[in-house]
Amino acid sequence: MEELLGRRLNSVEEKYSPRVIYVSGPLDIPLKGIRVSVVGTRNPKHRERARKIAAALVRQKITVVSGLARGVDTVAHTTAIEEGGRTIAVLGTPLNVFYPPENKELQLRIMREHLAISQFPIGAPVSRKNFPMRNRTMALVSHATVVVEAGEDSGVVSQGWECLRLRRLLLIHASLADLPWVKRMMEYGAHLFRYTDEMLEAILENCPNDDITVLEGLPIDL
Amino acid sequence: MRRNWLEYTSLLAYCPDLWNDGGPGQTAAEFVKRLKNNQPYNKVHFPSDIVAKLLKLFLENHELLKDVFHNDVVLVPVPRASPIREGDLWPAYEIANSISRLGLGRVSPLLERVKRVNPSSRSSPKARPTPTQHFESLSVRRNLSQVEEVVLVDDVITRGHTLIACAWRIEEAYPGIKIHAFAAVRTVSNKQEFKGFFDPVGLGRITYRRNRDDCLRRP
Repeated sequence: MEELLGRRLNSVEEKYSPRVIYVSGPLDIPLKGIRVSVVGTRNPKHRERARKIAAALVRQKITVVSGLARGVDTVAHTTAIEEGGRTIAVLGTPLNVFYPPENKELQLRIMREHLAISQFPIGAPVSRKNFPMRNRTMALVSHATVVVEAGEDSGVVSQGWECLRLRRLLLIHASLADLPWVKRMMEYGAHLFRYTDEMLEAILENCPNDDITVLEGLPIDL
Repeated sequence: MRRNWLEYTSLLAYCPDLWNDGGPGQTAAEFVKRLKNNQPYNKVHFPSDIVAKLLKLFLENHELLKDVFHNDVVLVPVPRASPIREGDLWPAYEIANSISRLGLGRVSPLLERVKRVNPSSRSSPKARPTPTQHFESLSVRRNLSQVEEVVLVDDVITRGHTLIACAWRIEEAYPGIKIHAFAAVRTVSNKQEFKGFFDPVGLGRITYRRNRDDCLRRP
């Protein structure tokens, strides 16, 4: 039976889970609380939307997970930090590679004060296929994924399908409802949201909280 | 003529209004979330295995149900509200597998969802799909030559609309078959009636009301 970051995985989670994960940062492992991925395009038109979403999550003490890419990912991490919350960067590169280069300071800060994780060992080559693999890992370490803004061939598609495969909550901003992949994902259980309140309600209703580990009132010993 | 009743067994109770009471209501709500993702407690205990252990323990004191849950019965996981792809997590399938591992039946995923419906547990009473809508969104995979007894296995029962629709589909494909239902958790809408997290029902009843196209669940 496999484990990831101190938690046992079920058989469905095991399928694409990395065998080894490299971490840098002071956040507790096993990870605590609720974790939500905030993802989207590298060239957002609505940065403010990403900022509002990340800030709303932080106000509920939810950890913001993202991939440290340009655009929505960067806004998600920086907002979480500025609002005094927690953030986890799931990298598509080894921990000692800074990509994109302009996020070097942000990555170093996350490694110092929050948590950066990577499934790629130091010295491993960086290629395009790393990123869909990283997206699957991001879905796995998060209780839910929120897609803020994306295009027809967005990189978040791989994360969305992995989220549905794991039966994690997948929330997609309603402005993306006409995209073919969004329509397809909705048939398989994705949800649309327009307001942050709707998003938070769905997250709090559906996501287990890793801070709650007590299971009392049963006639069996665990 | 479709059946208008179905007997069910369940072990745990959950009251949506008590999700944040800091006590058994919250314990139940958290368990339901974990059950739907099959995410373990204390790193090791999967909710589906917990349900199976509780069922085995419960059966030790309920002779009548030993005729329902036994080695030869076919455990049929109830499809999720949305279609799934091969390899997707299917909570009812996980529960059925855990029960099967304790020698209380063999699993056969006889039913599939071919069209998405609103999940009952997350819908307001008016928005819940009717038994007829569930029936129309389900289909049977005819992959068993001989089936005599079936237990439909689900994670959460609300009114029983999904379960009665599943029973209709199975009876259509296997006339004369004996069908019972099992749901790990039953919802309790009135918080005054919530007695605690572990609150088993040995033999409950779902009654279909044809004139309203809905179900009444007791208890």
